[in-house]
Amino acid sequence: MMRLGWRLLTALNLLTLAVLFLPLAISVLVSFSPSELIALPDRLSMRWYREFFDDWQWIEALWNTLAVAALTIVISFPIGLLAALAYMRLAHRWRSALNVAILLPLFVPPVVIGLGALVFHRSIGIWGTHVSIALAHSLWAMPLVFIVLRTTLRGVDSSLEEAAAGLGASPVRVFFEITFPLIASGVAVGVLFAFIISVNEFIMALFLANSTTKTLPVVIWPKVRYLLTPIVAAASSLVIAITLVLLVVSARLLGLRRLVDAR
Amino acid sequence: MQTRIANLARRPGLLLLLPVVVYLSAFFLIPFLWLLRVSLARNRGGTGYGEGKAFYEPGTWTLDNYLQFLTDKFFLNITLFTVELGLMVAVISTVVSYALAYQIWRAPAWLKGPLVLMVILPKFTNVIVLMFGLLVVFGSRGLLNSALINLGMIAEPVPMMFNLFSVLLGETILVMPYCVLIILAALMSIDRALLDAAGGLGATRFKAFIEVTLPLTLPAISVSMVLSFMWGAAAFAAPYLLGKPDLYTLAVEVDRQVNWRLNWAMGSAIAIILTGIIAACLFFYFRQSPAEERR
Amino acid sequence: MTPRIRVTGLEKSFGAVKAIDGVSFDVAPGELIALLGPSGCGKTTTLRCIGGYDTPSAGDIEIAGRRVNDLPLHRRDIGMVFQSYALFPHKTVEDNVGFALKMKGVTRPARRQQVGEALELVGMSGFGARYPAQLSGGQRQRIALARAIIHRPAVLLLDEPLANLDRKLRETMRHEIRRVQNAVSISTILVTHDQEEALVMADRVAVMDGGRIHQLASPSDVYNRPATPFVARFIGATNFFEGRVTMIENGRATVQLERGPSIIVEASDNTVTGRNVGISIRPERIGIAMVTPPDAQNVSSVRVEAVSYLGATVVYTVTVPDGPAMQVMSALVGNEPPFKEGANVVVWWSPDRSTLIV
Ligand SMILES: Nc1ncnc2c1ncn2[C@@H]1O[C@H](COP(=O)(O)OP(=O)(O)OP(=O)(O)O)[C@@H](O)[C@H]1O
Ligand SMILES: [Mg+2]
Repeated sequence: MMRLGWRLLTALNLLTLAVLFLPLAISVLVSFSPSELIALPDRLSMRWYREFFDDWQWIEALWNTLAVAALTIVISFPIGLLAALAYMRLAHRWRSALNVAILLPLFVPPVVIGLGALVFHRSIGIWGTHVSIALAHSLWAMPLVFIVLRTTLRGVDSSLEEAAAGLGASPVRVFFEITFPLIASGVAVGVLFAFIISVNEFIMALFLANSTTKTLPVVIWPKVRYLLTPIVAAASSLVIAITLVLLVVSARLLGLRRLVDAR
Repeated sequence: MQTRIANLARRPGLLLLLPVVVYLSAFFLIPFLWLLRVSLARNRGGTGYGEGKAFYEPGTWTLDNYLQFLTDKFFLNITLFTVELGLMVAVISTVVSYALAYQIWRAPAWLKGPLVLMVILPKFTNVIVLMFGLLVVFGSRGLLNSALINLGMIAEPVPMMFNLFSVLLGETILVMPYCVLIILAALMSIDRALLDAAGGLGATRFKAFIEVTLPLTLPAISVSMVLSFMWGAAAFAAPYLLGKPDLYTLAVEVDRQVNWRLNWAMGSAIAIILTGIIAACLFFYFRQSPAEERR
Repeated sequence: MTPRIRVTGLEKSFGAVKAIDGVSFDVAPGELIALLGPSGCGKTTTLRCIGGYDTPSAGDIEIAGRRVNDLPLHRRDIGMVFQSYALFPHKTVEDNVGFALKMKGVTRPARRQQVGEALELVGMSGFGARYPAQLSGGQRQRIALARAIIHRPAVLLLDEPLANLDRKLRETMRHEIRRVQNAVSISTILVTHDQEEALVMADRVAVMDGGRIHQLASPSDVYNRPATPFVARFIGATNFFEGRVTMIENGRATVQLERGPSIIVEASDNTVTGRNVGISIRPERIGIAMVTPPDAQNVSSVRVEAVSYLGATVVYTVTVPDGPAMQVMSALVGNEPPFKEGANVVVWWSPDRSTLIV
């Protein structure tokens, strides 16, 4: 009886994992198909990647994606970092207020953020620029940077900072000599999160991009609906690849840090 | 003035807060207020295309958009479906996530990491990629149908896409990883000694689950429900790509009003209403849950 | 000589809690003062206010004749050793020790020289390239000390520097710290709740309780002439009696105890007849024998109620008939305690061995 229940549960969960994981794996596979058909390829080909890089529209989209993601980091990281530093210095009742204010955008539907930014950015004349999209993406990226750094900062023994100050380090030097090196791993994770969010977000971008600033997901979007060819899969896979490379790189960086710490 | 600056410098917390306050006010609060304002403006009426022009009549004040929303059955149906979808996503993803989180929790240590990774990896990829993958697998000429036909189990492709099933499937996949993480975190914080104690007192595994594990994870279940309702009600990609017009949500309607009908005023009104529904849900949740759950 | 550190009327409140309540003292150049007291008495808070880690609610702090209340932490010219050592985990021993010099803009080659000297002083030459995680507790302690003194600060602050070490190491480090402190001759404030540590290391001991200093005096005065009942009880073991002064004669006061005999003690300047006073007598200052020796004063016949064997010494609990119980400690000459439970013996002590507390 017990064992049967457990087996049923296992079967259900395997199915869940498959449904979670398959779409991703399959889009990558399809991108290597030699044919126009959306089907599992019988042999692997780089045809669609070649077409991708032959098409100016896709290259521009790739460039837009990376530019917006870089700007998102530039905007969300310092703001999130300073907010996390402020959080550590605040009294308890202010802390929760700050928390709520910063996390709030995560619960606002992206269409609402996108449309709000559309009407506002147009009125101040930045609509259609990379900065406009990055400012909107940062509403999701900054809270994550904040959470990650807040958690990391909690782990920093405050007597280390006091010791440095007592030895003559000004607050700014304390930060660069002591605090920052100690939270470097959190910094890497925070930057990575900001990047990943921006690269994959498309609903806000849908409202904010003009014809020359469309990011990859925005270009893919109508094509998934109306023109299903493997080039869409190739473009998607590139997005996945960028994400994975960054994940691995940062994991490496973190791994190295841990080695240093362990010595 | 001088002393006030000196005071600020002594309380560096305040100075550090400046950027986040400025940023959130300028690019979160003000846009939202702007949205509210536009939702109270008159529609320009025309559908003339042209960049640089706003698609509402600035300076006008009217409640027409809200009145139209409340009196038009079309919008009412969309609203109902949006709430329904939110509820369904909340229940389905919480139940499925609980089952998965429970087994991950009970899995041997070496397996836990890879399993968690499998769950969160989809969150590192694009929403559209996931929807695309679902189309490839479940489409009428997709892998699953071809396989079933080849096996002789069915003669005609079973329509699995562009119905409620596919919309729910797509949206659940998007929301689930968060629910799994939330529930798993709650399970991990349970003191194993409690379960051992229950076992020692003669409870079967199932009994121990009902008597100890489930009650201790109730807060996580309610968080999971609230979050997945909020995200489910804000669904955009899944209904758009995997649904059909009678499965569209308020979020989809915002896009259609703004980007297709070029009626920003109406789009803004719908966006405000959608936000209101989600805010009401959050409010309700915070009213209900005791303080310690909120942390 | 002007004091290096002068603290006057220092107060610090955390909300409704008054952690320190009017603390004043001076530290002379090169002097080591110990702040001693039970947990929560405000030792750390006092130290943190002096160092600038906390802002006092009231009172003044002067370092080398200059009021430093409004000086930020990094301009105070102090060295501090934290209880947890607070060594920077991502910096080598050399960079840890040289940190204060780096902040002053000293170049690396010049730093290296001074770091080498500091490491030599604390007996850690050759450890410069290691990370703190690669050191033992005692070694970290030495590095923390070297880091705190390398820039020759006006003041050295030590917050329970030995609390994390085992007993053996603690005893060695007491002398090590004192040796290094003498070598660089820095005025030092040491916080501890270990009375032995305070008595061994300090030139003067400030006994604190409830945010106040009860007594600030040399170790032997704090031990032999406690100023308040609290000090008497807190430092070492003591027999504490209360009574009333009935007579003063030739600098000696006769005190009638509430229960039991009257005893003769040395009077202090402010002793007056009829006053209620406390008397503290250390157990080891009391003699015990079968018969009364000649010239003995304050003699009582007592009964041995309990015997605690401590190896080098023995502690008897004795009671005076109709009177108080007291503890008597004596060195053990033989292998076994000479008196058994139930024995009837006499105890005595000379008036200058006990302390009258008004
Ligand atoms: N940051 C703080 N906020 C509130 N109360 C505090 C704070 N720091 C200290 N206190 C309170 O002030 C009092 C004195 O604390 P302090 O740390 O100075 O004691 P201490 O003598 O160093 O004790 P210990 O020997 O345990 O270290 C205590 O009652 C403590 O609870
Ligand atoms: Mg302390």
